Amino acid sequence: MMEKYKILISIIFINLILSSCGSLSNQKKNNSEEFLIEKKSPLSMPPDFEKLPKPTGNQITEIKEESNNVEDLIKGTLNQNNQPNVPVESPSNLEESIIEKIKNN
Amino acid sequence: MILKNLNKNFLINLILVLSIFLFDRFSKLYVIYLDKKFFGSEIFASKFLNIILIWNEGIAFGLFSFNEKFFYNILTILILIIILIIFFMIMKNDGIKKYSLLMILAGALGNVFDRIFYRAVPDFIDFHVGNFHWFIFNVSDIFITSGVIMMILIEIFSKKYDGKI
Repeated sequence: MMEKYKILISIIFINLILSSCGSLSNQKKNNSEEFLIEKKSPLSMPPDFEKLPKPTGNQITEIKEESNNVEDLIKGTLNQNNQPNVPVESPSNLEESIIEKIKNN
Repeated sequence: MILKNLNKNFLINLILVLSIFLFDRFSKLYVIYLDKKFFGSEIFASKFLNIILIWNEGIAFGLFSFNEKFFYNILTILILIIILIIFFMIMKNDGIKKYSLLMILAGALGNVFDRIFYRAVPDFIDFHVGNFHWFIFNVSDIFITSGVIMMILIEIFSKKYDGKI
């Protein structure tokens, strides 16, 4: 009986040694991980944050001035648009003026 | 007459071992070709069976798969010794026991060939039920395990131990 057990154990041992089944867990596959997103470290305050200069009121006025300028520009264009259209010279008048200039030269 | 029978038996045994070995080789080469074609991703996927190539440097269940060459070489030498023992066992035995040993020998030769030439054994048959995956194996493993199961059954159901193995 003991002999049989010994034989069975040796057969199983042979099976373990000779067969070579593996698992995916201990494999380093070269998959194309195009959808892999790397986790970023959590946001933290910079170490010299306290040393940074505090914002002053000048910056706000500058921004206001800039915005006013922009407003003026828009208004100006609007005014220009409101102005009556200057009559454009017709092509015949242009020809005549060019001919006059040539004659003068 | 005896010599004639011996030659005939030897030829049958050789054909059996060679056919198993070549079937295993063909399957492995085809899977390696498909793996290159699909750029290392899954070759086939279904509800219960996936075909995906992995390289096993160890023994069964991915055991002893170290990066060190020393352990790898020792394992390969151990496998070669076991193959030699099986070869002598085949010569001593006959009947179903002999054919089960032949199956083990053919499978072992298939795996040891890869261990020597690729320095790893390609496994690709992945049976799974849902998320539970059994260990990935190859054609050689099927024949080795079948031979071993046959040997175990013979040992269990044989009435008397006759001293032969």
